[in-house]
Amino acid sequence: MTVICRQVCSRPERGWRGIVALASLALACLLIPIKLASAQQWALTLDSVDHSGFALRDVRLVWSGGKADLRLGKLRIADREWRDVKLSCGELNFSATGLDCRKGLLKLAGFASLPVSLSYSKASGSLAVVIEQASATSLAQLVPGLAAWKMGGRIDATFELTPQRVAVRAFLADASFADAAGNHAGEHLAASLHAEASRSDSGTAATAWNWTVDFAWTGGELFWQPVYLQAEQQSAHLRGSLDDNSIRIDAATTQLGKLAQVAFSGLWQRREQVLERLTLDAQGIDLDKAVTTLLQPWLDQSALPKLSASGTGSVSFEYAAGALQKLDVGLDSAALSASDAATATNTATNDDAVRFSLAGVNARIPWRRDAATQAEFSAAAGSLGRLPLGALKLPVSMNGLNLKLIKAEIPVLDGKLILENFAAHHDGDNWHWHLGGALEPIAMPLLTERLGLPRMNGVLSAAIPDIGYADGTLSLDGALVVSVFDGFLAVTGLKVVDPLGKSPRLLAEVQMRHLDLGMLTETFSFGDITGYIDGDIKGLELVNWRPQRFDAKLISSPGDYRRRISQRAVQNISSLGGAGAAAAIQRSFLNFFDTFGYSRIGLSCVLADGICRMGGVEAAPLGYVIVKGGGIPALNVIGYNRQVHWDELLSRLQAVIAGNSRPVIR
Amino acid sequence: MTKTLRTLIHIMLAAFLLTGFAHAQGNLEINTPAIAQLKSAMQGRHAQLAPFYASGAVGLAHDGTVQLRDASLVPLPQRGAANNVIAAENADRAALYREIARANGNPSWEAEIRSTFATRWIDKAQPGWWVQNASSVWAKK
Repeated sequence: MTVICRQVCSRPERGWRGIVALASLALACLLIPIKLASAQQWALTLDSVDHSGFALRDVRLVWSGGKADLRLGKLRIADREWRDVKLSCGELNFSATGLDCRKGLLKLAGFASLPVSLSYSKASGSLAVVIEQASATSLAQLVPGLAAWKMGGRIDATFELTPQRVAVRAFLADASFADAAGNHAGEHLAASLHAEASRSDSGTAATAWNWTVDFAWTGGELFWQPVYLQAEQQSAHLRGSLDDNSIRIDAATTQLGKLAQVAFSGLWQRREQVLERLTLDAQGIDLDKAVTTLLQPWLDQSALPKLSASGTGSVSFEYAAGALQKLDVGLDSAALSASDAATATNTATNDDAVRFSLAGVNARIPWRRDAATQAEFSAAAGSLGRLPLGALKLPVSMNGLNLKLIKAEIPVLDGKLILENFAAHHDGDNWHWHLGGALEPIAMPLLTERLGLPRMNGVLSAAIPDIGYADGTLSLDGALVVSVFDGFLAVTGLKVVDPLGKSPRLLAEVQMRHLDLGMLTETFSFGDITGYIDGDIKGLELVNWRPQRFDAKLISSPGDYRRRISQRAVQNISSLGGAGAAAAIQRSFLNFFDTFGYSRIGLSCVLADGICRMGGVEAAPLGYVIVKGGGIPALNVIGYNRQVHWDELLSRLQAVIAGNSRPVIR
Repeated sequence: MTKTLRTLIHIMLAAFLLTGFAHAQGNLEINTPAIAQLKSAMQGRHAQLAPFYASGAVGLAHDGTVQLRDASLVPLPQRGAANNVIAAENADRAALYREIARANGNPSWEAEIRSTFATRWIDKAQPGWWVQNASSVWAKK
């Protein structure tokens, strides 16, 4: 028997509603043969069923002793097509009020079968589909785009479809998924979903739906390169509407475990495929958890510093018209610290590894795209390297992408770092900023003790004329002047290229004037030299903070002052020149006096390709004069080694300072 | 104790691999501060990579890199760290080949140095490690 139902089935319905219509059709068709015969077995064949939402070809339904087999030669829903679809019902009951298919199995050619039950009620026009303990593998095969994923686990799902309402309840148990590379994967997943949509009878032509979704992630773990998350009762409740033009989320609240509560709403334009509006409000963010689970994995990818944080924070923003309109960030009693990536993995508690820290941080940053606002940022204490920082306040004026800070004071030991006239702006591609400031005197004994350096006397102070940042380069306009050892050290032309990159490059010119040699040599246990020294380092270039090249010269300052050099200092200077250097005096003569007079002291090094070409105050036969004698008793120290490896020179200097030098005296 | 010993052996092996190329074209033993820094970083990282070589999660590819060949052998919590250590190792290896070519005064040798290193690395791999043949097919050594 062949029944062609084309006319009956071609009503212009949309979407799932057609499935209800199909069920009605099946029922209608089923009722036909019953009237024809009361045989124990019958078959129904349909050539084709066409519908705007789906199409069927070669439909064959066989009923026998309470069991039924439905076979579809071809099933097309939207753009997807399946061939050879079979549905067998272990128990098929039908009556004038409806149809009930229990212990059903849905089988698609080439795929595992899916256990399914169907029931259709004619009175309410509702179709219920129950999928029990279906394997995720077989379900995934039905979904385009998931074919390449490895899936596992079981799904229980109930679908209720009426012309006015769709409801889905689904439970996922012991599920897993993974993409081919393993960069996106989940294991032992458990989750539940309850979604409902009902037609809103707004009277307009467009089909509109109001929907709610409740989702809970109750078990398992997820890895989504580079973030790893564990289930801890994360849940979401979303409410919104859907029509042909847009998807609207009216209100969504999510509880992300202990991480935060996030509320959001938004509007997605389906035709233009654009996000028209999104507002988000995240409160009670556990900073420790947020940094560890969400932020650090990204930093680790680039071997950036390890961050740690505590306290709570909040973030809310509004995105509209293709841009961020407002952003509010708040921190409450937060603590933040950054440590070296390499050392932190080994010794997380090592103080030396902490590069930067702030404690007792409170911040209110209310940024608006088109309005001037005032941000407050304060910290009770902090540290920079081994230096403790005192309480600080940064009141920043914001106006769109222009930031200004008139003045801020950061206590450092017994002094202060003063930042003035900070201004930053974003030109659409990059940030540019500049600032000036000063370092108010810090006692050197305190500073050197903190830095683990030999104790130095005096004070450290500096003027910072103008530091700017543009195009990835930090540059200093003017001179950075540091008062030290009774003289001063001036740095000009300072540039740091790519300061936060993997290989920062520093360029500078350094001038030292009138440094007290007595203080300097005492500090570094070099032996005593009385007098003053000037120095110039031209074309200094550091890559990754290691010297690559420079042209350095140290020479005793001009002027009238006492010039004496101790026996030990002579020995140490000699040993700097290596085995080839020597004092041009007899050992006995050297041992006879404690100090000697000199007229000039000088040493130069031109570093290139890891080799230091050395020189002194003047040339000598086969070498160069490092110390030129003067007064009584006088002596000359001559260096003979013109080329020394930089690493070798450094280790000699360290050996001298450590007092382990074994100078060769001729 | 045995773990420490094994780690030490691995480090020594890595050091040997890094320095045992005196007979190849150019001077593969050439040393510059940049090369020394790379070698030391790679030796330090070897202890992190060795368990992945042993489990078969990571193998030695024929292009002189290390590759994650079976992510499912790395538990999910460690997968991010595994990706990072592989990326860092490959960045250092690429830099090493480039630096050795440059230090030899012949930047164009980079590809050849890379392929020499790849072959030797695979030759010196421990039994049980996974290595790739010239047609990118993985096999257990």
